[in-house]
Amino acid sequence: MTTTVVYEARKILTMNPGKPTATHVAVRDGRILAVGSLDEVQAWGAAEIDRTFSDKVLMPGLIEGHAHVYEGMVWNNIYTGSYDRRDPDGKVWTGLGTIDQIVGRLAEACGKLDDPEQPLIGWGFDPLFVDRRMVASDLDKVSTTRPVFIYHASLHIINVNSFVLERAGVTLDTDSEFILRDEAGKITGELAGHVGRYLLYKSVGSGEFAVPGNTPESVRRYAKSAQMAGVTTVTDLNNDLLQPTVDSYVKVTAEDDFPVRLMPAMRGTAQREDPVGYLRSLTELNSDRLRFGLVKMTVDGSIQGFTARLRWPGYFNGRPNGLWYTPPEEIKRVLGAFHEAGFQVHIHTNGDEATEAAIEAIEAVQIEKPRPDHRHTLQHCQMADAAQFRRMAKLGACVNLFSNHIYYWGDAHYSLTMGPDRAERMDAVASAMRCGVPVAIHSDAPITPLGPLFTAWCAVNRRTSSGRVLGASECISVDEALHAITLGAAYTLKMEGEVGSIEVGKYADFAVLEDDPTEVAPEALKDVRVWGTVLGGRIFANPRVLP
Amino acid sequence: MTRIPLTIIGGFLGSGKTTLLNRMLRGSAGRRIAVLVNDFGDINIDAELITGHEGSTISLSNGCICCSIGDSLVEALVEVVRMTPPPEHIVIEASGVAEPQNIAEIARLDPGLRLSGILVMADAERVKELAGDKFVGDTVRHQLCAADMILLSKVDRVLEERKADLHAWLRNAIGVKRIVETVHGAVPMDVLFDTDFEEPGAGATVAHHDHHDHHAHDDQFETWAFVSDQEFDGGKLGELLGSLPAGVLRAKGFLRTQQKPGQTGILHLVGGHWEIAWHAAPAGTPAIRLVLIAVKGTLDREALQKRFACALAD
Ligand SMILES: [Zn+2]
Repeated sequence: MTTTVVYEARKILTMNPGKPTATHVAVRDGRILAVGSLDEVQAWGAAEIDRTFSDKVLMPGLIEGHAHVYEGMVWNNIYTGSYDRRDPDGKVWTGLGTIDQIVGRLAEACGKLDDPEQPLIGWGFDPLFVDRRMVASDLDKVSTTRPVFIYHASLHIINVNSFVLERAGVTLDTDSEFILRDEAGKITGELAGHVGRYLLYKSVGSGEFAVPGNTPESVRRYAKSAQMAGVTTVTDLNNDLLQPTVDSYVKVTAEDDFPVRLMPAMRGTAQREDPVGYLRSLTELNSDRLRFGLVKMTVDGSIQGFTARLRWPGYFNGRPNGLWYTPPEEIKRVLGAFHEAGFQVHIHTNGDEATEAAIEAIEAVQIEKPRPDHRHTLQHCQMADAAQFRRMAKLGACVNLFSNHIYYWGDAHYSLTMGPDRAERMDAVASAMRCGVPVAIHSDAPITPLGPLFTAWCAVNRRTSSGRVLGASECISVDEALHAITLGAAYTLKMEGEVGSIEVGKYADFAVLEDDPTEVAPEALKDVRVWGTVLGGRIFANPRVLP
Repeated sequence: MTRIPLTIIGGFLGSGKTTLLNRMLRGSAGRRIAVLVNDFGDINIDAELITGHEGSTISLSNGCICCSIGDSLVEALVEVVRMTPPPEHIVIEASGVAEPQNIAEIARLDPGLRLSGILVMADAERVKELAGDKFVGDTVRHQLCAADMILLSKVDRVLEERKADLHAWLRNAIGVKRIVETVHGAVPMDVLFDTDFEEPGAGATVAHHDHHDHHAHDDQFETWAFVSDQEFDGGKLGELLGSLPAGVLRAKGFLRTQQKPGQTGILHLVGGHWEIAWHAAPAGTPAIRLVLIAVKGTLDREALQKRFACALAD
């Protein structure tokens, strides 16, 4: 005999326009049986009433349509960013505003390392928000006998200590645009781009410092990170999906206490004999918490790394145009193969020229093999203009915009990369909606913190970290933003029939909130507290950790 | 420390890089080459040649290995460089959209590596059109400009007239002077590699080990040697090497200068850049032996003889 549980809540925001709010939701077999008042849901017969959420607000479980499992791995290293950031265990790491503070945190971590050879690695460092430039001698205060290095938030530059410089063979007269110098011409210990990564990897041993990718532990931590943010469906939006990864995913998602539905996207250009056949075989492993079938492709690089492909007039500061990561004709070919096989492809484009190429590729495959409702989705798509959005709408494409960028890099885009005009229409959610493109918004965690409510706040307020409002005409309402992080995101994953709203028949996936996002001031949306989640009727309370 | 020579094979998608790499792997002439490729699938290695396949590396019975680059060229390259014993030569297949000079920067900065040339393949049928493409035109042009030499592939598929036009366009519009034609990836080993100069005299002529193809390539190249028992003046030699005729593909050999007594230098010159590796050695006979390989018709032997002789120390 199956049991029915009725959850009572202060308020239920269903995201179903037919019944926008309710107080009770009945759950049976992990699915939503009824939504409404207590009387209404009890019409289904005897039920156990659970009052855990009587003073909470329920929303559909939030959906992160673009994040990466690396979010579960970065926390093995030391957070050195300038914003407060919560780790998967619920601990809040305070943002650090000075180099001395960063050195202090690293030194403390260094003291806890047993192996004298083990590198000490920091991540999330953003040079824009600290008191001065970090140099090698700062990190020498952490250690002179082991490699110490810090990844910048942009991932483009790495700060290293003198130990690494020496091992890499970098001397005072090493001359390269990839080895940065200060105004006085002194080497700073900042290594740039792939050349910098090569020098680092060679001197510390490639792979030896990295946590093995996609281990069960990393996947569990990733899921915890998602849960902390109220997320119940999360992607891992670019993975080669080699056998060990697949094994991890299958194993971990089958564990009773795994708190999310995981949707990995296979890197479409990963080398294998029969990519389409391989993906098809993976879908046989699908379960209610693991869904293979998405494909990811990458057209260009990043705007802040100056590797995105821009149309005229190019970069605001005159930097040369960026790089094609996959040439347009290859995009077309690979997209065509997956398109024909019925798979949905997510295409990373940052610059507007890359977006143009992706649109042309979709158009070409649609003409060749018309396919209704393919929902190929442009990911990031940060510089698209109205004309591009209109073409996307006509072609049946979706977009997942990178709203968090407005806060974290908006000022840099305004003054450095795009200039005022294009910065003000970056991640143009309002334009996309006006043009009829289905929209989601995302964090790209770990590039920025995983947190759809924060991402929604970005799309609503469009405030940069300095406080500038970047393009007020692209701001959207709170309701629109909440739609983007639930049904909107679900739509871009072809999951809106199963998740994204609290409606009969869907999975009983809820975000459990302390505050009502529709009642707090729009400026406070990011501060809405997440109590935990419910996945398939199972409650996952967030750990309560004091900072 | 001996620096491992590193060759970069650039060029857009479909320009014939794989064909060339296949040939290099098969015709390695005893060198233990490590070839880093983007896709194993394209590389056609005869099954009987393969002695092992482990993860992203295939070992061949001739001592060569072939590694798949996978997601990260940087990581794949570090792995190869750290192998024991290290390979004698590394060849990287740059991805179709890579800017080869960025990879070359790695070879320039790593004291364990030496750039042995950026060879950029250009498909005779498509390159001009690609260089004007609205999306990838600038990428293709950057690749061509970065080349120490351009390997113009599939020349058998275009008319003579078109070929002449291509040469003129590459020279004038793109600004490259060193163009080598190839069919089915056939390029003489002495043009591809520069590692044959440990023994005085070896490699003084264009080697013939790769000529079983139906196209003879000897008519594309000419060589010229400079031999002397004297020493160069270091300064004059530098000036000379920086101003060789534009058609010189490679210069290699050994030499001595007045400024480095008791040392013999091994010269490696490709395209516009060169370096000399010095090691202590008593003067042999001859003291200098250098060989130039150039595009046919670009060497004025008499003038060269005069210029090289002028660079000798008084
Ligand atoms: Zn991403």
